[in-house]
Amino acid sequence: MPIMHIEVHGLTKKYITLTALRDVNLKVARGESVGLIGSNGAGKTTLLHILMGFIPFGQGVVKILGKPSTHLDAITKGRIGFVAEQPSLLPWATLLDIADLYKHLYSQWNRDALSRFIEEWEIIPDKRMRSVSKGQRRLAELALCFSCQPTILLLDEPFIGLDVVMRLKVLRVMKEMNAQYGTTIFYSSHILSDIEKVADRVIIIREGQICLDEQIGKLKHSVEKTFIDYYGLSREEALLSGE
Amino acid sequence: MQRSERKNALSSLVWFFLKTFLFNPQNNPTFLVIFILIIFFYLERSLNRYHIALMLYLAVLAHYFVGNIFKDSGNAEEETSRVPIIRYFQVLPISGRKIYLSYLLATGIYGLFTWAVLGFLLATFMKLPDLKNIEFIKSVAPDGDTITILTGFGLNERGIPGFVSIPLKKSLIFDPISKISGNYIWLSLLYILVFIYICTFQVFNQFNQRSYPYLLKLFHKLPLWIYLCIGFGFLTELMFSQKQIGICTRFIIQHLGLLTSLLLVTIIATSISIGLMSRFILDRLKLIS
Repeated sequence: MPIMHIEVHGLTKKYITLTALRDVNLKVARGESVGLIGSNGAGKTTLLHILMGFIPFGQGVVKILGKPSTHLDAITKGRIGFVAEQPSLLPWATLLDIADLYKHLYSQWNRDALSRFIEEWEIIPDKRMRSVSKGQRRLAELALCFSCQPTILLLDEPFIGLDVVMRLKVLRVMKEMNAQYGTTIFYSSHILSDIEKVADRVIIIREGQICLDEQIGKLKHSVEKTFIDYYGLSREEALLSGE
Repeated sequence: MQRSERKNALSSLVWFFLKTFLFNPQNNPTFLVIFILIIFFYLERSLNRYHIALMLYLAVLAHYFVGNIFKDSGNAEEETSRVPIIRYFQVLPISGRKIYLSYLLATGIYGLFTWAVLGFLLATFMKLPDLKNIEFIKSVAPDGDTITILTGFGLNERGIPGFVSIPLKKSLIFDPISKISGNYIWLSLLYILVFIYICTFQVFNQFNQRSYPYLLKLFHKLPLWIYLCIGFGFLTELMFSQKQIGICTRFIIQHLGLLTSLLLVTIIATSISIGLMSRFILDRLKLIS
């Protein structure tokens, strides 16, 4: 029986006037690469934040690396690489400052990997985060996250602010991590092609419910069907979305 | 993680706060102000009411910037928000309690340094022979109430980072109780700062009497200060989230005893350390015979 890195059973999350997630069930096994896709407000960010234990939820069981997400200890957190949708690196620190901190916090910290990312992605390492562009900040976050060599990667819209070339470079690294080190990847995106390049499996979420959970091989037909059934698109539009 | 590694993580986080923010002139302009102040004093070679006012302002400013440490000051077009910064600390593999502790240690070191510089400046220039208006200084030095209000204004705008609430409520930052817990810490820190200001100024008020400062005499205003601080914190909470008035009130009432006892312990420790430090500085400068 495969080891599950993410387990969600009957998860429901309600805000005051909105049900963000309803009866969500999913499992992600070790080494799997899963893409989460959905329209704006579908519940992707809420799901990822619940997995990280940022926000409480009403019903259900949520486990990450076998631990309840609401009680993640420092060791478990050290095995999770998380990148939020909004840039969250400290605006008053440089990439090198943060790297100096990380080497004491993360047992798997790999300085060489960070140097490689800095070179390959042309990141400015000695400027404060508030002084660099959005794209640079995003790359810095991803570089730091990948250099921690996490067991599982949770990425919320990781490609926001990146140009096409950088996006492809980041996708390549993600694929390498998954293939070489068996890193479990769970990431959300609006763009199907970004999901398709790395993910083995795709989950589509709509209005807080999972409406499709499929292996990538079987996806194309299902996606077309889903877009036609749930979103009311024409066949031509659905094909375009699939592309 | 082993015990030594955990300690290492804590000290590295303290160092990180000090190096990247508190002692970094690019991020904390207080140092620039201190530098200007030193030059100013050298040129003037005197101490008058304006200098006292300047120092007070500097003290408030110093803690204002420290308070803003976790406020996101990104590019102008971006929405200012602390939430991503709080998230950032929640992701780190170190408990919220340790993050809070390291923040306190870092700001404590920073605060001591700031006050040592200010104390040194005051003590140095007070022995100058042309300084004859010491009685005047005594009369203009602000009393406890004034400093409380001034400090309150200085720390008003989101003074203390929200992540301090993490150790108190399992990092659930959207939980209203957790937000109030943040204010609970906020209040205690505010009160400590106020007390430090008062002690320092009262200490220097007593210089001309050549007597050892009786810091404990200051305690007669203690209840007033506590009420002022709680009132101010409550008012801030009122302004920022009106929906939570009821919860805030309940929390304050439930924890008033704990709050007061915690504050008392902290204040006594602070006053003893400030008294000893002042005595040491004055002895070194031979201002006390």
